[in-house]
Amino acid sequence: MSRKVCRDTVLVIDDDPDFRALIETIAELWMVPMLQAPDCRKGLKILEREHGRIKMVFLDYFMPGMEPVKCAAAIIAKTGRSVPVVLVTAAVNPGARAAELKISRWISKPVEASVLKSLLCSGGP
Amino acid sequence: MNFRTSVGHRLFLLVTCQTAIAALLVLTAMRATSQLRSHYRHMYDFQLRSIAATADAMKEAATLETGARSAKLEAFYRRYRADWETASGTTPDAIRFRKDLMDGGESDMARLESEVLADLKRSLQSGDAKNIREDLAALYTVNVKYADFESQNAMKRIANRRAWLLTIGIAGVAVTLLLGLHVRRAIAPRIRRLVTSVGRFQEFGKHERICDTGRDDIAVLANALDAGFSAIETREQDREKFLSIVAHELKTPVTSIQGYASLLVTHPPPVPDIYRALEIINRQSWRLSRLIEALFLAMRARSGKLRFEPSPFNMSELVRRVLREMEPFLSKRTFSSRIEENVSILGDEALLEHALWSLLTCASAYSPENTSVQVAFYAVQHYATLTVDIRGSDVSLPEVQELFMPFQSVEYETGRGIRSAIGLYLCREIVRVHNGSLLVQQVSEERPEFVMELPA
Repeated sequence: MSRKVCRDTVLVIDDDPDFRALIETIAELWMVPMLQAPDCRKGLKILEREHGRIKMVFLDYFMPGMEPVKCAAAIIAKTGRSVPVVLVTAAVNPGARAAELKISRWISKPVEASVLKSLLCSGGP
Repeated sequence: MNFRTSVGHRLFLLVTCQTAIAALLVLTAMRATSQLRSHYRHMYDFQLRSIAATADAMKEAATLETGARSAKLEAFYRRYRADWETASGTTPDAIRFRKDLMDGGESDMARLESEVLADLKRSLQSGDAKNIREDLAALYTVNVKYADFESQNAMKRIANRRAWLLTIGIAGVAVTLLLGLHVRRAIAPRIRRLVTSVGRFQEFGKHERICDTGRDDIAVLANALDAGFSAIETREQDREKFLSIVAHELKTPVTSIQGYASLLVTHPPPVPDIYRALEIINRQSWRLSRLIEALFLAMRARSGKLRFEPSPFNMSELVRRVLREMEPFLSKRTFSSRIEENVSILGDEALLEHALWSLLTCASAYSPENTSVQVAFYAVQHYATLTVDIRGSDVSLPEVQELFMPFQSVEYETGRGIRSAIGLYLCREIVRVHNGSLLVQQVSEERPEFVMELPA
């Protein structure tokens, strides 16, 4: 597999450190700058600080702290519709969860590394 | 239940009413039959026999010569006065018939009979054959009129009884029908509502409350169905929630395992930090296998087939090991333990290890951050006792007790994200197969305590 350089910065908001570590490894392989947060509140702080640099947000559903709907609404309000927010969740009915959060893109855990890589590089599942 | 308005009472009233009507009809019919029999006996003994005797006397008088005396005719006269005379007779038949004549406005007939008998007596004494024959003929005519009157009277009485029987019968049928309709209207729509509700529940699995506000046994049945369906619905919702939590908990470790494994397959080393990848795969595989094992055991416990293979082992060591193994999984929480050494029990070590993991996970989930969970293990009088004190917890006793029900779970923060632990149903079942007990008690306010007792 040839190494391709994808330079858009992604923000991963997920309370599972192992999943964040997985994305970090894949991002490192494809030289994608990555920012990460274990909960929504910290993710919003990063968004505020790095606004304009982040090209995609990976968002988990179940996390400590803020409720999922409020969290998604706050992130969308910060990023605007031009930055895709992708729901990545192990919840049952991820499509319904995405609709609940008013997010059009979602992927269901578990997920292949190739899917994550194509997301990181092309910007769409 | 109010007996006065119960369905049983309504049916009892209906049957009682029907029985009373039937009894009334039978009594009326029996009375009518008895009166008919009495009429016929009266007609025969009092009327027809007097007519026949008078006819015999008329035959005797036909050959009587003037001036001659007839012993037979004199005997007839005496017999008639004694047995068949209506006008002044004292027999029950005579009294009754005289009353009938009075009631029927025919008292003239009795006066005529009296006059004829007086004439007959004089004629017999004078031996006037012609007058005797005329008097006997007149007496015969009076008796035939008597028979005719009595026959008509009997017919009237029979018609009257028949009218009574018809009236009682029609009234009885009407009352029974009305009562039956009342009972049907009081019961049938409610039974239909129950059946519809059961059908809907079977078809759609959704329960709409029947809400029967009555105070009878149908209302009791409706309320029992409401409670039963509601419990099934709640259990079903618990099961669905539990399954979605289990699916989430199973998918979370698989995400890391599959993600790293697929990365290693498609992108051979050197992968950055490969040791960390393998460590995550190993740890998450262990977590996954523990969860699968717990689910498998819970399933076996639900069907009553929990396999129990006891052997003597050191329970103190097991408690110490589980506490040690759990420490890395706790965040901002610790265990503070006081364990008596070398307490041995006869039990299934693998099952009890699951029970301890389950109990201590739930205890730490309920325990507030930066507060240690107090664990004590000791033996007293042939019992090994483990107490887990979750002081400072804001959870109520009923909430903790609900964890003992099937399909319950508890969410908790580990520092590695939100986790869900399956409730204490499996733990309690494991303790139960060991002939032990597991309960939660309130030591003091804001201080629930789990107590596990096992035979030592």
